[in-house]
Amino acid sequence: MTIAPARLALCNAAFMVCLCVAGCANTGVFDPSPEGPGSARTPTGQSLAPQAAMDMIAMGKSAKADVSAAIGRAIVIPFDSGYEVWVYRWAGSDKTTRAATELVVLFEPSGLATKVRVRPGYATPN
Amino acid sequence: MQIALVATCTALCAQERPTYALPKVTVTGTSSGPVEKSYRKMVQGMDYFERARAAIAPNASLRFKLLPRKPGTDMDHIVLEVIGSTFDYEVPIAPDHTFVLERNLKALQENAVVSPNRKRLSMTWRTEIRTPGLPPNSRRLGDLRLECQVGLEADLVSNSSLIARVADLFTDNKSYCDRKDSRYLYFAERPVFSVTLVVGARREVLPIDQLYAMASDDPDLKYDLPYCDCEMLVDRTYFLPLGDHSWPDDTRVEFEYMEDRR
Repeated sequence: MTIAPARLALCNAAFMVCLCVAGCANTGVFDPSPEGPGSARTPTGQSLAPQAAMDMIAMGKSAKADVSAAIGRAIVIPFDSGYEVWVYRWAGSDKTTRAATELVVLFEPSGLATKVRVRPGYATPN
Repeated sequence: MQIALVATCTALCAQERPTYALPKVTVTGTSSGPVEKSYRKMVQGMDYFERARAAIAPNASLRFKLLPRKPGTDMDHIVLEVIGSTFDYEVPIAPDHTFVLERNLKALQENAVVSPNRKRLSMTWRTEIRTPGLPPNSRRLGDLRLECQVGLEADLVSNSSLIARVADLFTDNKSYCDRKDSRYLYFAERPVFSVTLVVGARREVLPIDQLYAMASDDPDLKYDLPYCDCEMLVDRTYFLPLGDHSWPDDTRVEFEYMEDRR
């Protein structure tokens, strides 16, 4: 196929936009920074295993402040409905989100934890 | 703007970059005109469904679906019409906001539009392809794969920017649905807490960045949302590994909803 020069230039410009805007989106990987949100730690700074962190959350009783005090700052996803999802992550064999173990907490609009789950990491296929 | 721009270039980048891409989005401009679609393109999608269903979703049926995009959009009193140059007729909408299009030669000849009485940007469109008899709160991956393909063939998910038009010259849209990193936006029936793929004894819960339009990894999402047709549906949004064929078409996609009680 012959590509007209003007069209090619526009194509290149669009491709550069791709590169500049979030590098065509860096999804599927994450930076497991221990200082960043989403790293589960005790108030004294000790890291927590996923199950231990989950055990510190009481369904229907733990408020957001209780959870953040017990296991640290989460990645927070608020919704217009008033529900909020909090996420803690543990890196797996690589930096992909697929390999990461996740603790996911759902807060209902009242501010109390209503659901919690641990998602295991999965091996990345070769 | 980030999502819009990246979505625009998603197809364009497909050949060159093996990395991930943000969701396909609908960017339809700022006109106050109605949300309308080409009848011919929608029939083209129906034709594609008929050709492809035997291999992917042999027992499924196709409907189209209207979804809210802006707060306050009245979804319960929509009048949907097929409008040609010499005729128009109304298309019945089911209570779940789905509808079917009848084939009409005159509508094809007159290049009719399918037009709801709602303003542009107030709603979005998807296909709904369902195999009957599945367990509650579950879908079939093959149905959803075909939804992506038919949706793109019918131009329900489209970009109208110049860059997108250029991208369209170079790519087969439907092939986007078969990429391992495709980011076709699906909307669950209600706000989701988790989505799990199940086939035989194999189960895999989707990571959080496959839910909620990647909100977990995009702190600027709220600024991008006006450009995303997921704007009102973030808590229902999920992606699927459409191009990962280690998950067969018969894979069940199971949903746990936020408001479900255990």
